[in-house]
Amino acid sequence: MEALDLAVIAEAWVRLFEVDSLFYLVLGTLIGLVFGVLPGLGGTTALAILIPFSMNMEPGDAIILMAGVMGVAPTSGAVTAILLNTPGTAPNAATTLDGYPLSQQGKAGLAIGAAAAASGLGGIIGIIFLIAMVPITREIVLMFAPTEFLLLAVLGLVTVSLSTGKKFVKSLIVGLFGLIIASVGYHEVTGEERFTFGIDYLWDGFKLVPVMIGFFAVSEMINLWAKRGSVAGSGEMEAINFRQVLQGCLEPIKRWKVLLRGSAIGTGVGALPGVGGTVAAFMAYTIAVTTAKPSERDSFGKGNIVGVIAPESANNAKEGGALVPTLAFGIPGSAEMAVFLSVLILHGMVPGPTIMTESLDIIWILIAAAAASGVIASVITISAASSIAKLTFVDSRTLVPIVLAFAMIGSYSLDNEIYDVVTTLVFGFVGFLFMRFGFPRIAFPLAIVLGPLMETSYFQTLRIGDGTLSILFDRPQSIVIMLLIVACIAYYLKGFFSRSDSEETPA
Amino acid sequence: MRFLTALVALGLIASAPAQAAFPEKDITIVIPYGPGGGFDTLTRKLSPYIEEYFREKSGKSFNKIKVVPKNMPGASGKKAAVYTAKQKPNGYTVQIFNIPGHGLPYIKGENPGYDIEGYSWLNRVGGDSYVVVVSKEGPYKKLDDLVNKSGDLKIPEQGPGSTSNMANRITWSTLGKGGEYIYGYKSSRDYTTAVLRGDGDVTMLASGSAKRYNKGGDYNILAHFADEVDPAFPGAVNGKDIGHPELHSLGLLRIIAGPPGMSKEVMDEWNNALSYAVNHPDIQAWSAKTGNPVKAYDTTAETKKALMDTLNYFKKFRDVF
Repeated sequence: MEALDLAVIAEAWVRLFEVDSLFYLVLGTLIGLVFGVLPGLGGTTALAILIPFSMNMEPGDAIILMAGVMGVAPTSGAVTAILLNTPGTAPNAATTLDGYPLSQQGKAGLAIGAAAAASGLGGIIGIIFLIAMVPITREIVLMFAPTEFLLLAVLGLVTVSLSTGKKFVKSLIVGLFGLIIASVGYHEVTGEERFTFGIDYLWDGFKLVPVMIGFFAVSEMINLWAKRGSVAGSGEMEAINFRQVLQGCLEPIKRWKVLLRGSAIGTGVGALPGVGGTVAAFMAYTIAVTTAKPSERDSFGKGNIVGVIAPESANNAKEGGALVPTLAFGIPGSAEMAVFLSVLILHGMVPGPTIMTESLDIIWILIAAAAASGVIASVITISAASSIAKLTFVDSRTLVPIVLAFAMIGSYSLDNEIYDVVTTLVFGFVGFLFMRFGFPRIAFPLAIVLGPLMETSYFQTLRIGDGTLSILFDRPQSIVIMLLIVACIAYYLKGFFSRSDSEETPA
Repeated sequence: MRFLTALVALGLIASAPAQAAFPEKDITIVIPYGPGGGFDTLTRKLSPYIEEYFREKSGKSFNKIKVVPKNMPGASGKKAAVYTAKQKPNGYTVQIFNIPGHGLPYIKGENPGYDIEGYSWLNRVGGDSYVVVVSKEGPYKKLDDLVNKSGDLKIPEQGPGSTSNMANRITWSTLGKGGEYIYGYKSSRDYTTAVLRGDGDVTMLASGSAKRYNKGGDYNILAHFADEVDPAFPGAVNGKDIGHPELHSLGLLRIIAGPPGMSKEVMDEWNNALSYAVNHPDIQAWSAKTGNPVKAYDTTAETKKALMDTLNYFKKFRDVF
């Protein structure tokens, strides 16, 4: 059976529009929306909870339900990122950079509209890329060895540091702090414990989700409590209406280049196991900043809509990419994919080179359902946006206790572990201190995600290269990534100096 | 006296159904890893059949007792093992164990906070033997080619604490060959793909996984350390062929056990439930299709013996870990 068999593809879409399938699709989408909005609870938790229910379902229905969840969580995670500076899922952290300033200006509706449309369109573009990649999935996975992962991690850290502009040094400090936090725990390469102080909880290191909830949500709530008032202190509630949301929806179409680039980055990065959506979103953001006109560059971080469109399109497109290693090799491209993989196996499907021939019908149902759920999620988010956006006008005395309660519940419910709540609180105060003293926080999530990947890949590269890093120069794909790193730095420096020149030269 | 007799009789009546009626409430099976892995998948697949056994045994079609899988990841399985050891030994909390993984502290003579010998060992739900895997495109066509390679072998692996790493180290030290280990791959699938990509020369994995990963014919299986080489691995040698039959003891066991001190009645009941689930035609069909070997022992005593045989075999090689 050919992978791109039109009859099978058509059959999958027909199947998706049957009553049962539509029911499961909408159900999955709604569950994903709710889990995505709650900080800490993302698609992974939703999928894990659904596993027992899916076992008695027919495989196609189970896959549709799961695809519904997977297609959605990143979309709804953007809502809290924009409104409360609290990413619903880790990859939404990049959206806070410009999404939250827009909320502070009373333009939350515009930002949510743009995020939802960029997510929906990004998801579809990601699926199209996936379809194009289906025949060459194997080659893609085999092309990336630890050498490339090492360089990609470096590229990720370089781009995020550059995106903070004049606060470059402070950003580096935050990044280093993130790397130190990421090194806590049992080290899988050396087999040694680091900075655990004999505490069992630290054996696995700090968990990403409780740290993120603390660093973003709790710190923001402390800040809001201290300053009183509401998120949109300077905006007008009347301005948030459906018209503003619709205006937001049109933004990604107007800026189609940003959308396409973000989606391409998302799919590409998503296809690399262990790199994931957080990196994809930040990389898309940084590239949007560096490729913007010098006159526009300063507006990033202060509420530029491009800063919402780029990460959100990448974030949703990465789901299509992440399916590549999951299906072709059974290597999950993300945590969500790891859980999804077990659903496939529970239903008797064996991910690997032969899945494209043995379960091709199911694969196409999955692809169709993922694309459809993204669209449904965007429509739901857009229609509810003007009401949800009014949250930004709620007084801090009401808002802060509610968000804190959700943050703590989200953190605890991850593993029913009280120490996770302690972690959340501690990182809440750390995040607040960073904010208070003007340190840009964005390098932190990326350092936490990329730190372990970079370190492990470094050790592996040394071992593969007999103790030297010379193999970095032996592989064409490594050289391409190195050139990208150099290009990013050069491009940024060029912009930096030309800006300084124009500032110094009298008009 | 008559009063006493009545009391005793009452006591007997009260206690008799309590024993016969196990289970009376929901049961938890602790999974020492997160959702999505092999242990998680197997436990979730078996749970409905364990439920079915208890329902049929009770004779009530409306018996709503649930068997609930509970993920408790942490410290490479240690967190769950400590938790299970502290639960009441009444059969309502049991755990799926990774052997020899959970036995690594016993093998090394360390104290992990639980006594691996003390648990109430119920029955095996999965078990497997190891194979030696190389890329089909690579230069190694038989086991001797690897042994005769000049210099150390490069071996992609998960990490120093993984069970397959133990299998690798035992095998290559038995064959007198040095290995340079490339650690840090996330799963067996990941490090097997690393061999295909050329990150290293060779690695080892469970035979069921090898069958799954090799569906596309990318790999050569050069050795299968079992009494009978699986027909799925044509051309592979076993330990006997190369003069090391002891390598057949390199096993991988997935055993369900409860906290120390479970009563014989409840253990036997569990043993029956697990045998029922494992031997169910649906499970066997799933096992054959997905390459997840599932097979039970006859008695709990046999289970404990297999456990100790495996651990003691690994213990002999504690110096190579």
